[in-house]
Amino acid sequence: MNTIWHLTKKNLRLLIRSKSSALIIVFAPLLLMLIIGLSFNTNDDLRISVGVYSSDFTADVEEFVTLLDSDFNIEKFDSVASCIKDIKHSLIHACVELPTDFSVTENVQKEIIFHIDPTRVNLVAQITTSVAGKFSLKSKEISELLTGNILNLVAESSAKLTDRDKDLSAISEKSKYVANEASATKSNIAGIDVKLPEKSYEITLVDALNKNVKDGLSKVDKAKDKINSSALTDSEKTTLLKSLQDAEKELSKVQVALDVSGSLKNLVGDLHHDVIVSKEKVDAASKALDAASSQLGGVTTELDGLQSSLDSLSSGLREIKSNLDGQKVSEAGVITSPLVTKISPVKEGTKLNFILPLLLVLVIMFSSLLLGTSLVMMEKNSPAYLRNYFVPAGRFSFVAAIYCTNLVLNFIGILVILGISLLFIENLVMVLPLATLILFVLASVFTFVGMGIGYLFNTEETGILASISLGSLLLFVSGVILPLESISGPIKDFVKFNPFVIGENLLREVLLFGSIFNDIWFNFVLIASYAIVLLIVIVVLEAILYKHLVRRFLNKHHRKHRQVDKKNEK
Amino acid sequence: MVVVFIKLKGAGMRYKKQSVLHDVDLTIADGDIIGIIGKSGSGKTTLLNLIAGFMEPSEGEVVYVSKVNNKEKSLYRNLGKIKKYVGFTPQHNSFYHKLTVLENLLHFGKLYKLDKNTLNANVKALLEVTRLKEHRHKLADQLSGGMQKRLDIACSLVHKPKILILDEPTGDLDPVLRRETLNFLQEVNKQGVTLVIASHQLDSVEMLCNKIAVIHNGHVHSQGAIQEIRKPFLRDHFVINIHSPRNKDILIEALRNLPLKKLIDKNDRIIVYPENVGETMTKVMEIIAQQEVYLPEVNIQHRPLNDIFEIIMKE
Repeated sequence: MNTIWHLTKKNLRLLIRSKSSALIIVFAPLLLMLIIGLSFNTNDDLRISVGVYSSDFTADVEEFVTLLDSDFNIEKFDSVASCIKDIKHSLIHACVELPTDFSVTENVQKEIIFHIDPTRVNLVAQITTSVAGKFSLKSKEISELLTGNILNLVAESSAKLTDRDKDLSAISEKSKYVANEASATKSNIAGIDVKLPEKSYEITLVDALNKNVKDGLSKVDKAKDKINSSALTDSEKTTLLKSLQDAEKELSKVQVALDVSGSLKNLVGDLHHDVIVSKEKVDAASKALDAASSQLGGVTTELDGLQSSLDSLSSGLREIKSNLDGQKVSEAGVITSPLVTKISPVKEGTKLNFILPLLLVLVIMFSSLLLGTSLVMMEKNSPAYLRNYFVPAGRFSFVAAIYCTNLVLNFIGILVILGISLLFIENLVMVLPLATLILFVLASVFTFVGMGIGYLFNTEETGILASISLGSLLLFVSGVILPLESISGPIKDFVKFNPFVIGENLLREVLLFGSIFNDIWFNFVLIASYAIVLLIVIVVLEAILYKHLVRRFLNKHHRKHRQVDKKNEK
Repeated sequence: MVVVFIKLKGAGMRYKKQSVLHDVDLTIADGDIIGIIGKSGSGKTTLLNLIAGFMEPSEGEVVYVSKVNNKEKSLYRNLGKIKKYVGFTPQHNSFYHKLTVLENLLHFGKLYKLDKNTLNANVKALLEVTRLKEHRHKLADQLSGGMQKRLDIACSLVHKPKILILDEPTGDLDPVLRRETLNFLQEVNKQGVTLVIASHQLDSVEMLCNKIAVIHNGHVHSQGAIQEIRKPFLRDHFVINIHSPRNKDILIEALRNLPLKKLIDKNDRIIVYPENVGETMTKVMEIIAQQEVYLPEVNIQHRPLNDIFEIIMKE
């Protein structure tokens, strides 16, 4: 146990005395944890930037935009094209195309189009869910409104129908009354005896006598005519005619007399009797009709009231119908989902296509960092390092040679990846020159960083560990593992300057969206500036450290040989 | 007229306020083979580093003298100008182990911006003289220790420097390889290259160098031609080497009666340090004559540099 403790103490002592080893082995993981911990030390949801477009930003739209603004960074656009362009430039995460208002008045759902960037593989689902969640709330709100409207309408109709129920009761009462009155009237009218006495009167004799009288009268008339046409004088004629007129009078008297004679008298008697009976019946009928008339007057009045009630009922029903007709939204689908969302990716392709830029940057970063460090270490720790002190070649030549070696090795890897990618990505050939230029600059940046690490650390192991740690850190805060949007505030501002992030964005824009140099010049210049600054730093660092490194190299070998000498002396 | 090449004038070096070397005055002339000797930690590597221009002296100065105008210039500050005239072979091999012999030579030659014909001619000559021609396509890793040392020196010579600085050139080599290397260095010197060698292997220095500088306690104790250094120690400072495997015991018995400083019985040899070389040799002759002892080899040598060095160290 003592031996183990003794050896452990020795190891710790050696570790602590080797400053760079202690630094990288003990403190680098802690530093890494600290930075990553600070980066993701937040409970905030993703702060997503959403572009909003509507052909008319009405009050309704503005209200919804304000609602979105509480959870997202909202930017308004005046065209869908510019909104989508900003997605491609990673300035916003999604673009939402809104209708001019959210009121659903017809049986048609309102369509909202989400333009999203599917190339941000680890973020697209979250963005869609997050933004769609807001629209789901809005849709629910509208749905509730629509349902509320319908329910109000139903309640209102119900109240109106209750009101109209009184009319119906009145109609019912009045109908009953009218029915009773009508029945009574019917009974009264049915009670009227309009049957006249049926008696056969003997009128033959009267008829014969009448016939004779009529014949006598006729003959008188003929005689008058003959007198008039005769050649008699007027006085004669007048005399004759006078005689005839007298005869005629007499005949008429006979005719009158016929009425008072025997059967005629009976006949008249019967007739008289019948007339009396008829008169009685007519009187009774008249009374019945008066009663019926009176009843019908009441019925008429009731019928007028009934008509009024019916009119009121009809009006009420028409109003209800009108109200119901006013509710245009009647389809269940529209009521339950008044807003329908449509996802419109700004780029079609497979996930393999989308992660190609990431893969390229990942390969470039790690290979450049590790190669840069390894090559510097190889040179620094090479037995020939001291000899290089005496060669007349400038130190810059050595730096440049390491850089070029790195580029050659990196580009072999890149050519293989791009060569394979040509089989999967359309139009890659068109953007290849610009993509290659970006890769060249990126490789330069990471190579210089790797070289810097190589110059700062003593042993290859610690240098490589430092490179891997740095690479991991850059990877962690690049949005590849966790979205950048979930990084806490202060660090987020620095993270956007992460060369990994800049490089990936540049390649994504060029390889996936076919952006040209004019679209990406700012980020390109930024990353190129990194490369230039780092080159200057490396050259200065190398110049500062070179003599120190030579001296260290000399001392190291000198100590080693002195140890051998001492051993030999013993 | 001797052309002065490098001069150390009161040069000294301090590390963290501790003086490692001080008041060093040394002149390295054209064509010299100068050996810098001293105990481990005496400061000889520091001195060599000052001569090579790796460090700027913290006191005094190290200058080179231009043949053109005979002006003295700081070596450290003008190293860039004279790099092509200087070759340096550190104690460890300083070439690329994963390059072949030829690739190493061509690589360093190209860094000196030699034109192709000159470079090829130099490489060809070096391969011949180092006897590495047969091995030119082998990786440096695959060479023997002696060949690696020759390759290392060849890399320092590929641009034909005027001065070659070597730190322990025979340090880790076995006797055969050591001799090979020393012979090679003599050849190099004959080509007109000044050699500055730091070594603690005094027999090698003695065999190779015409001048030495003895570093002791951080300063140059003595310097000059080996004969000059040895002069104060010449009288009775001899060693008698007797090789007599069969009669060793008889001889030792007889020699013990004589006034001797030291007698070493080493394998088949007897090494005698006499108080009086004449008397001792007479006695040895007598023993040979009286006892008919067969001696395959008897020789008398000046005391080796090692002994003189030990005396100096004890002073």
